[in-house]
Amino acid sequence: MDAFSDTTDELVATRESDEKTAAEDDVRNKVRVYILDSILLGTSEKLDDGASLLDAGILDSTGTMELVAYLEDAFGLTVFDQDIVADNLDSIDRICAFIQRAGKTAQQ
Amino acid sequence: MTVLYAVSRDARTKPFGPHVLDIDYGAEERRIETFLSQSVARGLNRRGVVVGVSGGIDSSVCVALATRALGASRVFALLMPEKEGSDDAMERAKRLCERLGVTYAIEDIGPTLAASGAYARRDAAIRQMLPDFGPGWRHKIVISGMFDRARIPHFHLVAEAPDGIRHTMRMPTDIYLQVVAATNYKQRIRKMTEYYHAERLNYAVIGTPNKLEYDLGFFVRGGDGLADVKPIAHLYKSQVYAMAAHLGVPEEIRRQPPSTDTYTLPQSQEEFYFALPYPQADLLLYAMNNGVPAESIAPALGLDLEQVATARADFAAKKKAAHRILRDAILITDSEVGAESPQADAVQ
Repeated sequence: MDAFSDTTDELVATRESDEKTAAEDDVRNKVRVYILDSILLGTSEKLDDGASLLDAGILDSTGTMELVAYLEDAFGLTVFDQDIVADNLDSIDRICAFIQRAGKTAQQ
Repeated sequence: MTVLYAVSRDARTKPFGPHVLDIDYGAEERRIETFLSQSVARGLNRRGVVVGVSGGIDSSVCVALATRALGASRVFALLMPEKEGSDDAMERAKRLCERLGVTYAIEDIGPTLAASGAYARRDAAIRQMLPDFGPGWRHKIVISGMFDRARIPHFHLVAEAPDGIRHTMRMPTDIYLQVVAATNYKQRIRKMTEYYHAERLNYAVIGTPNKLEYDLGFFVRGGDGLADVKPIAHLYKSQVYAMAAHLGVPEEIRRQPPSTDTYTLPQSQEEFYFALPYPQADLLLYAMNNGVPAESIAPALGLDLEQVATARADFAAKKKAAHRILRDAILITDSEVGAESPQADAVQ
């Protein structure tokens, strides 16, 4: 029985981790679609998840503020002034990590 | 090793600092005057120049140089106040024109601004953030987040109620864009007025940006960015002040701090755009244009290396924006539509 319950726990843990990954993928996909459709107007553009959007000239200061408004709307976040930093917003990876952190802070 | 910024003997012996901007103002004045008369007469085939004179340092230097280059009778100055501008600046502009002996006209652009809805559209945008905003309130836009960790610049509205209470709020993008777009009517209507007089007189229009403004895009497309000849676009702001002293521009103009005179609360250019006082901004831009390393820039500007990196990135982004504001419309014959700066790249 012990072995069986261990397996159940593992299954539950795996399912939770799968759900978490699926939710993260969903966030990542939404962010990617927003940048491709709303910022790049659907022009085909190779968009590396780790690449700097500022260096590539995809986000300028107005674009950054549009992105901030999108994040607040789409994910129910409050983006404070001190959050508007390249570390949080300069790539799809960074944006996704920021959404996760900001979401957790909001739940606390 | 090549010292790229060695413009004088001093530059090799002294550490990088404001002295790199030292030039011979007598020689520079003659060079600009020759350039002005030749480009107006031969390059543009016009008989004189129109200059919008604001009472600020740049337009004062331009009108003084034009008067020396072409003679007072070939310079037509335009003073274009509106109800939100500084009365003192207009008085200074008037006194300068009288002193130079140039003909000037006063064109109040307020009624045109009102008829075009400039004030109403701007106020409507602000009321989305501040429902009480209206007559008696004053406001300005300030840039935030430049030197505070790697913050991305963004804009705050500062609004002062008639009772003196100030509100400072981050501007949502759509409101920021509408406020700027509505406010830009001021620069565009001034430019339309300058061209009316220029065409009537067969004159050219002088654009008054200095190098800091020109390189970093501190002007409005179709507004103050539009002109036939820009005689001080190669002079850093500190050099414009020094040229003003050399030309004998009255001290009442030279001692005024640079202001946008665009919003109803007093607003310096650095709080709206450059994020650095102009002596520092000049040096940073000079350093970027001349390959001066960050290690030499930091002590001269009183910044640490991280702040220099942030400021350089910001200026680099502004340079890109400047190119977009100035460039001609993109044609289908341009080989690379996505290219930021095909001509500039070719020159470099």
